Amino acid sequence: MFSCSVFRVGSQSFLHRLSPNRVTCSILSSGFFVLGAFSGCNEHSSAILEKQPIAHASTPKTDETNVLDDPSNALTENHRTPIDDRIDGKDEPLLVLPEPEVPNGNSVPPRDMATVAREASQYIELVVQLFPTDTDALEVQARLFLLLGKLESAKDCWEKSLGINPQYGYAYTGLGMIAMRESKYDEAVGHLKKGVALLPGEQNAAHELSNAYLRNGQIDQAIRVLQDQLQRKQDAFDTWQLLGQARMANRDYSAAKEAFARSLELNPRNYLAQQGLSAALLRLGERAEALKWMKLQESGRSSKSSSMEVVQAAERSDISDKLTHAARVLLKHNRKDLARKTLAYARGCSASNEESRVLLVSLLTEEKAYENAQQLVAELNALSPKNANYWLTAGSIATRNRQLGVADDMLNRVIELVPQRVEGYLAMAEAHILLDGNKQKAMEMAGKVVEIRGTSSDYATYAQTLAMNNRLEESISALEQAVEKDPEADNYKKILEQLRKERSAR
Amino acid sequence: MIVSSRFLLSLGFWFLPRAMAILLVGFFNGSLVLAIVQDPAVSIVFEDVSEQSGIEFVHSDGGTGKHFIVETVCSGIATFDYDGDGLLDIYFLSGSYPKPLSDSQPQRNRLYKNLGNLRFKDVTEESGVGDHGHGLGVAVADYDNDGDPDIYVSNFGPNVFYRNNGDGTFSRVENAPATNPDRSRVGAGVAFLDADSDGDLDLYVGNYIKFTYEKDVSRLILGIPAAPGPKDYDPDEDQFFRNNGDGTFTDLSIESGISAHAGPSMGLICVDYDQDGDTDVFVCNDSAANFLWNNDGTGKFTEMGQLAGVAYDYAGLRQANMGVDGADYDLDGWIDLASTNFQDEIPAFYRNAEGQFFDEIGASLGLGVATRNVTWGVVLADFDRDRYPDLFMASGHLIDAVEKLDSSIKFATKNHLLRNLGGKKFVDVSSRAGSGMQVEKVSRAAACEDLDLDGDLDLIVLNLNSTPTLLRNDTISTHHWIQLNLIGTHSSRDAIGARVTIQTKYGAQVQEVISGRGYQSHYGHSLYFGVGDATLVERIEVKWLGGKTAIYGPFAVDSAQTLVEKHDVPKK
Repeated sequence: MFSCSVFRVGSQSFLHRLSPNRVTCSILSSGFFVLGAFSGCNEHSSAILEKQPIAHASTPKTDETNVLDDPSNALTENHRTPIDDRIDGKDEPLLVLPEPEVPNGNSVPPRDMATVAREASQYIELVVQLFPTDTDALEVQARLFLLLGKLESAKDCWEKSLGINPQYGYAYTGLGMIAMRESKYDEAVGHLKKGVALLPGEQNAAHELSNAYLRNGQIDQAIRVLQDQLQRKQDAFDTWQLLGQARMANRDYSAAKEAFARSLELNPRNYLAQQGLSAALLRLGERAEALKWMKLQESGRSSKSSSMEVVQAAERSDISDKLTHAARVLLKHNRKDLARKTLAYARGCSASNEESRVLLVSLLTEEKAYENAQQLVAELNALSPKNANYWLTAGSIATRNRQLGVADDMLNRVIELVPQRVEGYLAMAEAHILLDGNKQKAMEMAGKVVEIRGTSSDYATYAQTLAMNNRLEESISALEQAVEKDPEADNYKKILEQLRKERSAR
Repeated sequence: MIVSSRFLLSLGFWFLPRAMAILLVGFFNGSLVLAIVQDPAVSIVFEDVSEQSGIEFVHSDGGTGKHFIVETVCSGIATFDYDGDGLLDIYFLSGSYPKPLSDSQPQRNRLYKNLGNLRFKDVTEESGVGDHGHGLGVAVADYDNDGDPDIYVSNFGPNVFYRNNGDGTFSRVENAPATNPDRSRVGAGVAFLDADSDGDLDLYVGNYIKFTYEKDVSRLILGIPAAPGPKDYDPDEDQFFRNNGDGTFTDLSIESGISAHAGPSMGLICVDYDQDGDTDVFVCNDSAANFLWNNDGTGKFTEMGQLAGVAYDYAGLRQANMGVDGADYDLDGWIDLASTNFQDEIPAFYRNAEGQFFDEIGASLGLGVATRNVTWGVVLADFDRDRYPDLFMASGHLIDAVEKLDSSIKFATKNHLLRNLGGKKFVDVSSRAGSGMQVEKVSRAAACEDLDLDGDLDLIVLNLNSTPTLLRNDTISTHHWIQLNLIGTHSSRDAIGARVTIQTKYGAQVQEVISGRGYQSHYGHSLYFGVGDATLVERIEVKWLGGKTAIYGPFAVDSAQTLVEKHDVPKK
């Protein structure tokens, strides 16, 4: 009769813009020289690694590096407002924020959902009060209002955003979604068209627009929007599926079949495309093939409701996401104190929110609160045990915390998970150099890096470890390789010169 | 400055639909200002005449306030002429719980006798149909072919069979297998049909889920209490009972194939969708694939929902289908199906593609206007007599605190009225369709009949925990109509399953005689055809169930005709 998803916010486009992957990687990238190694933070790390260029830092950064100084985080703005003074206790408190959980356990706030929603609203309200002209802050607040069913308030936020920046495409998408909820489809189409025009790469805006057209009975227009979207992103299986559905609504079964088949090429487990394909095939008289797909799609559908625990976890996860994005806004304005509180609450809300934990790790590492950071990385490892980036982070933090055994364990997991990538070996080399002076191990690891990748800087690192092991000839030879690969590397040439002098001196 | 209609035509406005008229307002700043309004001659108007109707029935969901799933699914409604006086009476079902679970007074179903002029009188006590089980579904038919309508009620708990004594009273048929006397099932829609075309009416009984109070599941959405959904429970199998011809029934659920698939049934309808001469069954399933039981003509059924394209919506998604009605919306000679469903689902419209497939085209027909509410009762009927069936959907949410979850949705809301534009599109005319369409209640079941015998179709709506809404059709129209009452002699006396084709100067229009439809309700036993401005029904063809065909007419319009079974054309 109903499903709880009815009340969940469908659109995630803004969340994607603040991008879990981007956030994770940019934050991690600046902490330690090994942290920047992986630019994909997906569960299927090795697959992502194949796609992303790896930035190798030949000169290890120290743990004194401010992880939030990374330009990619754009943490440059640091203005104070009268509200800041109130928060800092110089005036009457503006809002009494609920105390977040400390990051040392897996517990979630022992509060009912209504309380969690109210408290989350307080956090986000504060961000908006601090930065009332920041459209990203208003966007987060609007999304929370939408999630909580406060449509008028959400609408206010988006209208304010447009007052600040008339080209803010997300606001149009949001207003379109509200108009859809109010069954004002013409109005929805108007807003969503603007959203799509301003955010041409945003799949969600295009999907919403096609949905608005469909609900308005304008099937041809819906098809055009989806086709335009596919011009931009041809490998979007869900767009192909929606196109197939729109074709079905238009009774164009051959075109529908083609669209569903394309969707299934891209995602063979898409049961809606399976169902659509079977329906199209039936109408085209291909009964045997249709029956095959019909059977297949049945197995993809759940016939039971999610348990109450699962539903509540999803609700908490939605709220937690909003809080995390609020924290991103705070970090953008360099309000790390409040960001940390917000992230801690977000983490407490959802046992599965990785992004809040990643950001917290970054902040805690900056504060040298290694024990707490390790606790959080342990949570990340438990959530995504195949994510090599998290193990790499854990190993690096253990190195900073001078726990060689732990670092060894963590980095060995990295090497196990992605043996053909260099980052685990480099981190291992670093750990041994820093913690136990095991120059032999460091040399072995650097040698492995040369074997796998063999860039100029890899040879230079290897040369360094060879030199540490008093293998001067080999070190010179390695450095010569480094120079050969990068003739512009003057620093290598200088070191090579010094080594040759030393050899002559001997 | 006055501009003549001839001038407007010269501007090219002639191509506007017949239903639209153009009013010239005048010139403003040099520009011609036109207002396009609905032609008053064919605007559908319903006035709320509930207060003066004398109907004091107040539905109860049981009143525990505990959000049991059986409280939310609500009861059906039936319209039929119980005493043979030519006026259609109304039977309301109500929920009711055993005393230990509720402080409320035991509720009972109520029968209201039509006194004429939309005035009604409660005759529950004297007629003896005041069951106080938890009423859910109802169908009416003359199952014993004795000339008066009998009532079957499905409950949460044992069902009830009321046999009409022919004197304004009913006798309860005790311990009949068809009443599930010793089983506590959650009922749903029910329907009489002659599945084996043997001249007596069999019974299809929908069942919802396997529920007991002990198995209740608590649900919260963002901390707000809500009723659980059907997927929180195991679905139940439907049942099929064969009429033995002697007033008794035999449970053939297994032999007929019906029990082979379980689903959370709600509304259902029996029609011959493929025109193969036997009656098939479409069943709405709540959050599950709908069933289409294809009859092989002997009362054996095969489930064809997915193959026929009625299991899911156009996107392949399962819907929470609630009610269903059938009519030929585009006058192509095939019965199409309209089905109501949950919030954010576009009401489904299954266009019958010549009995081979159905195309779900709710979106392209314009039914997306009703996606924000949960819709339940559904009526496809010609309210403006332009020949094309219009669409009424009763609406109301099932979460009483839904406004806390979404400020755009209300628990009590207005119903929907969509006008059929020539079989091409439905347009929402609710806001300008009179006071009756502005009523905000938590509506569930709906029924449609010419209750005041004025030649147009009125509506009666059952509202959750409230009084019903009686809507008088005040549409001003020059269009005509004809009403047909069929009496079977070889086929069942109620002629259930007979297919009627009327012929006017505009062409053919088709309907079937149906028992049980909408949201777990029963209405429309007499067939009502709007015929536009045709002044003569030239010919009526009736295919009586069993394959024999007879021709009747011609008939003057604006009349009610009784057609008694005869066999002009030899059985094929």
